[in-house]
Amino acid sequence: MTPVDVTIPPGTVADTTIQPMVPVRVEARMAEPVIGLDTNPLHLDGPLSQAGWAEYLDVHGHGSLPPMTPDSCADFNLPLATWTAPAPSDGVHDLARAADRTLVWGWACSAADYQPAGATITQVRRRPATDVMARYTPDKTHHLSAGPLKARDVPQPAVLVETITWWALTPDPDRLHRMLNRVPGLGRLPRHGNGRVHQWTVNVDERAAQRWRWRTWPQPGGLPAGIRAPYHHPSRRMPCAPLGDPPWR
Amino acid sequence: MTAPDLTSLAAVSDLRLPLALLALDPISHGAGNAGNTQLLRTQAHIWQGRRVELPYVSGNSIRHRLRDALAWHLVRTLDVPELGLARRVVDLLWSGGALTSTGNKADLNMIRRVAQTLLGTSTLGYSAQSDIVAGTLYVDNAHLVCQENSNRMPPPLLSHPHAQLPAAVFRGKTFSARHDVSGSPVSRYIRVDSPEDLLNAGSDRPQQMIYDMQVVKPGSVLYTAFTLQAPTIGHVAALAVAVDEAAPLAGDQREIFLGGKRSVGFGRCAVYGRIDDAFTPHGGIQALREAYEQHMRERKTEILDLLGELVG
Repeated sequence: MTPVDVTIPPGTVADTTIQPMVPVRVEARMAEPVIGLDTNPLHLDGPLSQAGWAEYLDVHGHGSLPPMTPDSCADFNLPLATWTAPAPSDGVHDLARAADRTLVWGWACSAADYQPAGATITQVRRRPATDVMARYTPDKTHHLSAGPLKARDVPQPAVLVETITWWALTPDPDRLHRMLNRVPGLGRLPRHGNGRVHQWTVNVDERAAQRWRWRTWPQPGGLPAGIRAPYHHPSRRMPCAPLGDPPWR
Repeated sequence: MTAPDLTSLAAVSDLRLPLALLALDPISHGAGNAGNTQLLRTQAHIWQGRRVELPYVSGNSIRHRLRDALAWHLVRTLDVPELGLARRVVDLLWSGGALTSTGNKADLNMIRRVAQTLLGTSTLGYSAQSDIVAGTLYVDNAHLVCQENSNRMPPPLLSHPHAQLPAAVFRGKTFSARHDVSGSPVSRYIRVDSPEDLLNAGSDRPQQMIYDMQVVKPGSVLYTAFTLQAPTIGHVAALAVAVDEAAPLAGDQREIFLGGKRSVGFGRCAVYGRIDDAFTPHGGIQALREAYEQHMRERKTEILDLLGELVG
């Protein structure tokens, strides 16, 4: 993979959903509860961008990605078709715009479709190393219940779910599967073992030709939401239609 | 093979280290108390359409075991004198640090310097001043090999006999006792200021306390995995040292401690997995360890200065 492959230059994207693409159903069989799943639509391009980031590091190494600022944010080259839609307001950030500057663009993939089996709490603890502090620091006291170094037991709400499904249009299902296999977990705190994906599968499914459209779309007068990864970035935020339940349910 | 350059920021291949753990002693991983019984930590899981609560050892606690091992290795290798570190540095090394200031700019140069110099800290991730920096290491929760986990355990473990048994088989309870010496011959060393004190000495009667705890029984098998995503060679070396320190060889078998009460004999597990093979493409654990320690010794002043600079 060459360096030019791993990111997309701003202002160059056109609608590719009208080109021949493979409609696919993507499934993640989950091994662990997912922290924060119920507070996030979790469009597929979100976790897939993590694999895009890893590919970027493969090519360029650590510390090479331009810093993310309000006016700078990389788009990794994902194996998904791209959609365009009219910009919902004049205030849309330049980075959100497609090659046709009156349009904004995003990835042709749905939000996460799942049936929660229940809710649970994952507790993350942090024990101050007071025994070591006594030995290696000259300080006389350490306050356990105040300040940034305090002891913590943080309850994180998590969703119990067996399978999460997405619908997408892709030019290359094999590459999509390869990249997803580099996404170890979904939701928050995956490095601690939370939200671990037991198995990713990618299957051709004609229903995806329509179902990928169940996602956040820009809409004049709508509520602010992100249209593509990274969804938290201000350049991706614009007035959008609220995401309802999947129409097929 | 020449010693690798551990300051390189180039990403090497992902590394996955699946492990099976055989509990040699009871494992105590607590989640509060009911009376004087410590409850075993459990996780909700869906099995055959119903919700079950299964004992497990959190990935977070295993990460701490690795972080703790690397921190002790650092102070030992650099010969850090006692009382020789700031409290925030200790917190950074042993607990991953904390956000201590506000800011809206990530200090990329500092993050790069840490990735090149403080290899263990960079591998596990850390917080310092206004930055949260993710590491490249993912540690899975350690789950029991049992019937209810059969829909999420690694396929090779499905043929293990324990995969046919319910998790309840592997749960047990044990107890400890705190012996009180008052009332014994040692009592003559307890100071009594007046004869009345002797009359009011009811509270000084022997208070032997038995406390018990739920445990995962010895003989149980658990599984977990360590994964490095797009690591530098320095991260690979740090993981090799962390594994070598936290799971040292005991004879020809590596052993690691899971959960709490290690000081009273709980949590010892034999480690099964191709640990050494996973590091062979990079020269093996021993070569990586030597390179890691050489890296640290050559940069002792730089490392200690950077630690101080990092926490502000």
